[in-house]
Amino acid sequence: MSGKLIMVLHAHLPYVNHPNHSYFMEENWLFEAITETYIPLLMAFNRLIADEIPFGITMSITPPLFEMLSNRTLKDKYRRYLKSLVELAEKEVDLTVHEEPLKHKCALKYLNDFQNTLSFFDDCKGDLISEFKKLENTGALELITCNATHGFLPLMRGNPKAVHAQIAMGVKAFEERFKEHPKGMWLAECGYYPNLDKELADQNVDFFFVDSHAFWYANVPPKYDVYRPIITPNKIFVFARDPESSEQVWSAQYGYPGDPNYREFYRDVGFDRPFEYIKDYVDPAGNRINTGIKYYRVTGEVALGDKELYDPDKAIEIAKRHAVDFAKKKSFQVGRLTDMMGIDPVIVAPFDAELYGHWWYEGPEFLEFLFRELSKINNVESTVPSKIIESMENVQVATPAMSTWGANGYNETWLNGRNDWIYPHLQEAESRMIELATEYRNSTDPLYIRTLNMCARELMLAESSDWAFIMTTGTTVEYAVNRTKTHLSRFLELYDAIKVHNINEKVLELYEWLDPIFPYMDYRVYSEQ
Amino acid sequence: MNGGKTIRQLKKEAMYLKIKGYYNMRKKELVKAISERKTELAKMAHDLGNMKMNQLRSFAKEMGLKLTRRTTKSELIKKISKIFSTWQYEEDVKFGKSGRTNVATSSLTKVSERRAVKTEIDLPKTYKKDKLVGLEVNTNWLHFYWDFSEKTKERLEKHSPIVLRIYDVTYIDFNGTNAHRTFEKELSLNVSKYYVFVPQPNADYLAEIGYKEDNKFVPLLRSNLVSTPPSSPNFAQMELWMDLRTHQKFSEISSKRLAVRIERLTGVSSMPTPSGGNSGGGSFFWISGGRNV
Repeated sequence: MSGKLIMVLHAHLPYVNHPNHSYFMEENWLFEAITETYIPLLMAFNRLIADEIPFGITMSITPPLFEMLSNRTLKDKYRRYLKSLVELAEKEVDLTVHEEPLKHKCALKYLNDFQNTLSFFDDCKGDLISEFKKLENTGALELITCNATHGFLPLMRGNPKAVHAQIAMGVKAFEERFKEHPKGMWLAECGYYPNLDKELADQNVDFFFVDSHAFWYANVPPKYDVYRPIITPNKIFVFARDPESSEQVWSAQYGYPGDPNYREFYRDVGFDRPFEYIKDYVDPAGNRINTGIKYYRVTGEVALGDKELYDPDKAIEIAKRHAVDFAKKKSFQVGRLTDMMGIDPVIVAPFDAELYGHWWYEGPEFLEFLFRELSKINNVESTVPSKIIESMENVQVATPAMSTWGANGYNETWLNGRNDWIYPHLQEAESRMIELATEYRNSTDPLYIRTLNMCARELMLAESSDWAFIMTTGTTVEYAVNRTKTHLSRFLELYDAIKVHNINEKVLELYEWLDPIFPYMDYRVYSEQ
Repeated sequence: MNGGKTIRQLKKEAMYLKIKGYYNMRKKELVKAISERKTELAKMAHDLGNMKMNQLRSFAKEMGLKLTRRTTKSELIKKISKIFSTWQYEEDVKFGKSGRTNVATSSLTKVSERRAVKTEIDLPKTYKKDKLVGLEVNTNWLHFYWDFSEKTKERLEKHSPIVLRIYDVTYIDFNGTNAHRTFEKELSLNVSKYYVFVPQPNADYLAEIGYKEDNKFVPLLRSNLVSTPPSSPNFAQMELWMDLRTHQKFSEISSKRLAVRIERLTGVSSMPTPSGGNSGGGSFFWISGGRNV
């Protein structure tokens, strides 16, 4: 007998694409994540495959993210960004010759890493989706989708058709871009409520994930707690998060990423170097930004100015030690659970993918070491949900409780005094979209069809849970507010245009160019008939 | 960002930032002044090394740092950067407890006020439709928002204040009078949303909005059904299972709990002082500091 470990990385960024600007700071979210998380993860997994290490990992790649990864303009911008980063690293190598040796060592590492990232990007012709697919074909990686624009479904349930559209589009988008049907779906923010599984059943999705308390407070308590999947009355498998694994990685006090030897996120040459020197590598408007070149380590509870220099070799050693520690803990946990359960426990450990690499710089190496370590331990096997499902003979039927993985387990992150103003508008727009789609479901006029599809895009972009989340957490609020208002007001404008039969094609073209997400959009997904 | 701050918080912040004349500023002016001051300071923070001793001294004085004649340049820089870093940490989103990190905001922490809003977009203040919508916040809090048609609004204007009623209708086919419990509050006509504390998790609620006439409640709008999520385990005699080869379902008597489950403990080291005092409870809003009135 051996316990199963399901590591899930949820890769998501809101759709940010501003083709009307040659530089737009929020586009850097994607660029930083590609450089620090997505490519390093792909490289780490490829090394494991090359070394024939057996492992299993699940990644949800959300539609906004893969739509951005498929976007020509963004790819070109990313390549330009990365080239300029290589150039900056070259300068840093020259400059640090006269500075502390550790800094110079880091600079050389950055240059080397960025050059490798650039070759990786060029070798796959900028097609990261195919790289993920290749890995999936080895059987080690299981790719799943997410609801269309990461809309927060528990607060959308008043408009069931809007929920349906999010789920159906999440499946369709994945099929369009990955050329395969997604077996599983990550529900944005693990937002689940009873009966949502019906929508998943209609789209032939086999499984999804919930937070632990969805099982704890289920209509019937699951016999094996969170350590075996259950099946809903609509026959969808559900996997629940193991609180122990999350805590081991995440805990503010004892979690791995806070180790003093790891790289400090908040000291960056974008802020530390004289402006004249750095100005070509930051926001052309003159604002300093993070470049990704950082020379300091977490150090401890000291002011930013007192941080000590980062040593990459030392940090990698710590990552390895942490991986060994985590593998041991999993092995111990499996032993304990197996004794109690008398059946293979299934431990589910979901994380935001961007934790690895972007926040926790050494995270991708940690994962690589972890899988190498696990391959040596015989009572734990890392695997993927569909393989677990195939191996099961019986499953308990139960309905999970309404829950999310947000702060305190429910909806307060997405509904509080800072963001509650969005819901009257979102729900009005949803009702109007359903009204339009039902009224025009048989339309054959290409101009109307285009306008209706654009309405659906604007609505879905406004629905992204990211905007409400950002309003709550308090950074870049202005951007989130602006995006919400922009999409809603464009929606209302297009709605009015359809209603009075006065569609301005020039305006429509502009919106289509600005937000070309889901070119295969079909507004009929909102139709009530 | 200054999005959710009260004018008092803003003034306090302005005071710390030594903004001149902050006391007489309005909210908008404060937000702007704070943002400008922070940008100015951020620029300075990264040029500290290049500043002359007398510049540093006068800046330190402005910040209210205590200096002696013997304070060296490096000590001074250290002191000033310390101030900067504490400010910055207040702004940063640190690792959240749950899975959610926010890659999105990370690159912008220091320059979040960078771009002025280019076009101020105004969304309609009302859609002029009768609507009362309930949303779940968590196991004990519900949110309601409403909108009125012209006709309803006129009617309510004649009967102000409006009355919000919450009914516990768990397992009830509600007919207007048979609720388990009924809660009521008068609200001014210009309020269009409200957070409500409800006593029961795993229960169903409905709201009505109306007015009082001769001490009798006249309902005008009824909300959708809102269900608070459960917050404790259910007990069941039987478990339902499915054989995955035959798809046959079968029942089993619930076994004794196998794993000892440890649930997350919520608590604070000292009970916060409630402000206002007209509400039933709900530690969440105290703890998060976002208590809504």
